[in-house]
Amino acid sequence: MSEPPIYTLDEKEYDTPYYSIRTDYEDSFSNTKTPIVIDNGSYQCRAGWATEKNPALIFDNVVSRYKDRKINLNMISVGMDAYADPAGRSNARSPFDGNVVCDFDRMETILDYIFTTLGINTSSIDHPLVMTEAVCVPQYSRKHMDELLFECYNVPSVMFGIDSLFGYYANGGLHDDDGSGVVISAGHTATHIIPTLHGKGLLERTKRLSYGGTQATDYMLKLMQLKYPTFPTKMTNSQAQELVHNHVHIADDYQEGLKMIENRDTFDNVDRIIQFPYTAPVIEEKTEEELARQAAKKEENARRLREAAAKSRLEKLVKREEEYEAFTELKNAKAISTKKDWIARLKATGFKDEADLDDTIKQLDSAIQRARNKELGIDEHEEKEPPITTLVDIPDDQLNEAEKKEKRKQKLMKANYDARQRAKKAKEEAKAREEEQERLEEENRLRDPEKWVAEVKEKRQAVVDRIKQRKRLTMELSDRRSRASQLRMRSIANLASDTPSPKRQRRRKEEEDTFGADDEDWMIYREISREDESDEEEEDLSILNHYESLLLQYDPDFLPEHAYEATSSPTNTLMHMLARGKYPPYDPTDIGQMHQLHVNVERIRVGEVLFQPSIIGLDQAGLTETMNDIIRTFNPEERKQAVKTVFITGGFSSLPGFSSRISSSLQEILPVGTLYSVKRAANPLLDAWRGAAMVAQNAHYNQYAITKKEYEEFGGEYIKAHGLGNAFR
Amino acid sequence: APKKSSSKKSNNSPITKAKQQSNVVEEELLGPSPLNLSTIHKPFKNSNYKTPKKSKNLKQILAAERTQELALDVPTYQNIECPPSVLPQKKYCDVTGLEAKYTDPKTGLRYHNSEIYQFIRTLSVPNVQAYLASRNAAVVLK
Repeated sequence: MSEPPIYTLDEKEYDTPYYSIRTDYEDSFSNTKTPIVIDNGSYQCRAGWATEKNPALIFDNVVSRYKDRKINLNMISVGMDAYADPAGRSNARSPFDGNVVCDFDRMETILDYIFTTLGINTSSIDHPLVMTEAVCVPQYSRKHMDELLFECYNVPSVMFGIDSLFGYYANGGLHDDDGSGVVISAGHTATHIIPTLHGKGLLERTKRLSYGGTQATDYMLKLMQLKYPTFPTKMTNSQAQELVHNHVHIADDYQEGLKMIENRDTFDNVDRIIQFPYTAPVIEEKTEEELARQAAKKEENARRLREAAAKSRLEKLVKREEEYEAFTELKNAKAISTKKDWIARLKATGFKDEADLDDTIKQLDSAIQRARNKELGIDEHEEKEPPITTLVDIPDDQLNEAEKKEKRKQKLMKANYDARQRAKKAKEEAKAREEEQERLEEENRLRDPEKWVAEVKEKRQAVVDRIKQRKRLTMELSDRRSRASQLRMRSIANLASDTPSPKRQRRRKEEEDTFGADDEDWMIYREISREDESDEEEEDLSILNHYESLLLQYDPDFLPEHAYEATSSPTNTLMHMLARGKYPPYDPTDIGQMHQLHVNVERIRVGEVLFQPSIIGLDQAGLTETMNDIIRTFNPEERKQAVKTVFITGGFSSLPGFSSRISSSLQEILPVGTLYSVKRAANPLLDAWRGAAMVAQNAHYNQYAITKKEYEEFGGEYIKAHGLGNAFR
Repeated sequence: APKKSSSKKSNNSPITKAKQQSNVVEEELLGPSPLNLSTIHKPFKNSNYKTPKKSKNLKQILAAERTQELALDVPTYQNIECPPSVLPQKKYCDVTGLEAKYTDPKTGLRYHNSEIYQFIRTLSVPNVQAYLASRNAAVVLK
């Protein structure tokens, strides 16, 4: 099996400064009244001269105020420059709240940046402006924007429009089919659906879905945090954004997509491994000679120990031999000296009487023998002869004290010996029985293999059931409110109470409490006790293993993956597959694998929210349902015209599979045979700017701009409706 | 005609001049630095213009807009929001994301099969709330 591809997260690095100040203003644009076009989006701002093909500036719409520690200066940076310094990056803020400009201080800084970079050095901005604003933007926002532009920058005129409609214009939308269509703009903070008729956007029928690129990023981040709670590093928003941009796609059929993931065989087609950066731990590689030195040292120590042990053994042996000699000499001395003297000598050496001395001599002798044999390496078999039982049968009253003691000792030794013999015999019997059993099994197997296999399977199943039952019981007992727990409580209460249950009394028909006389009564303590029955479980497991090994050997259908261990191990579960993938197998000690994520369900889930907002609990209708509602607001003729061009624009729409999914959705809601087509913007990100630039140079639209005089006369909320923008309220 | 906007450079005392020079030298030593808008000269700005310090956020703006009553067919920022769905919603497992046929009555989590259920039973309350929060169903105590 080949190694699956591993994807990495790339940290974007930007040049510093991202844009240098242009120097062509004097020559090319001064005194030309070239319009400046600004596509002010919540994700990126794109600005430039209308006559140029591409916007001169494309930057993230953020402002950062921070103090640069290196040169100790207060900095205000805009766009990609804000990411140059880590302090700046964390401080980067957008003038937007949602898709509406609310913070005009930051907006002012953005405009400063644009005009400065364009190289404008006149005392006021002497160029008409075309800007984008949100769909049905609140009047507060437009008023302050006008104020900023006219009073601070002295712009001669401003025209506002909606970015997706500008994009529609740029892609020829207003000329096809009488300018009727449906524009779907999947943006950063929201997704808009704007129907158009006769070249004008119908704002009364427009709908906005509060899910866009930024909500998708947040959701991806949340999903990853839930899936990997013990992930070693924190995931940042920009990393989640990378994941969304690179690995998310829109499924054509969501249910099919989910089934593909659940099925272990097709899972690998969807699953992707993302490797997070990590630092490998430094393992001190000991050189060859160091290792050799360590081994030699260990060897040295072992040898020394062995020598010391041998020496002590030798010493002991010598001492024992000396003692043995001394004591035998003492014993032999009995014959030589008088009894009294000898007894005195005995007592002096520390023995009570002759028997004691004899015992000691015997022990010493056997010890010396054992030691000698060990030295010589003779394998000694402990042969215990049957003990002397001469005094056992004589009744007590015929013996004196010493003999009584002797008798007791002999009785004890006899009992020991008998017990040992019995144990040995029992063991041999058990072994014989086992062998007999195995032989029978073999015969059974050879006689009727299928039936035998079936029998073994049954037995195995019985053991598995027993194990499961035990597990269930332990789990039930831990829950206080389960029936098993209640029964247990009842038995405890019964045992503890002074008046046991009447049933018991009736059965016993006795006054006294005879609990405990019967062995069966004590079994109740076993049931009450909640200690784990691990030894029984072990027993069951070993029996299970035995059956499974037989089945593995003789049953062709029984595969290792059917074994109990494989089916119950955590690596086999669905959750493990989704979190850690299938191959290569997860090794908890591998640092690289610890920093890996698997995106599978998330790849289609994050995009699906557009069509089913209930996935994140957003109480809005999905894209398909909303499109349906909007299309129904047209009368049947207009409807046919409108669906001939469904135009898709916006950054979030560049997710793979978006347009084909919209196409399938349209097929769901339109009557059979309706002609419809889904058209994608040539460049979803830049077309809004391009359309606005086209409009800026189109003399027809000049009448729709708001001049400074009109601003002063009518106020900041005034706007002229031109079909590609908002209407005045 | 607008007045000639005053220069944004600081006054020419010897100390500030020295500071500026040292800054320039430092900048040259440290290499290219991002465009700093606080020090750059912006001739196109009206020096009399005072930037409003206070700004409202969207919630406040919309609250103020709500007081302005308009005819019902005029589209406003809040009008054009998508209404709630009338179609039955598909339920998805909170833990795996697959289809959820079952719901745990104790926690309210939706799950895909018995294996996930065993996992849900082991979850602590904050974890349960975290899963619910991912679909906006967590208990919020005000």
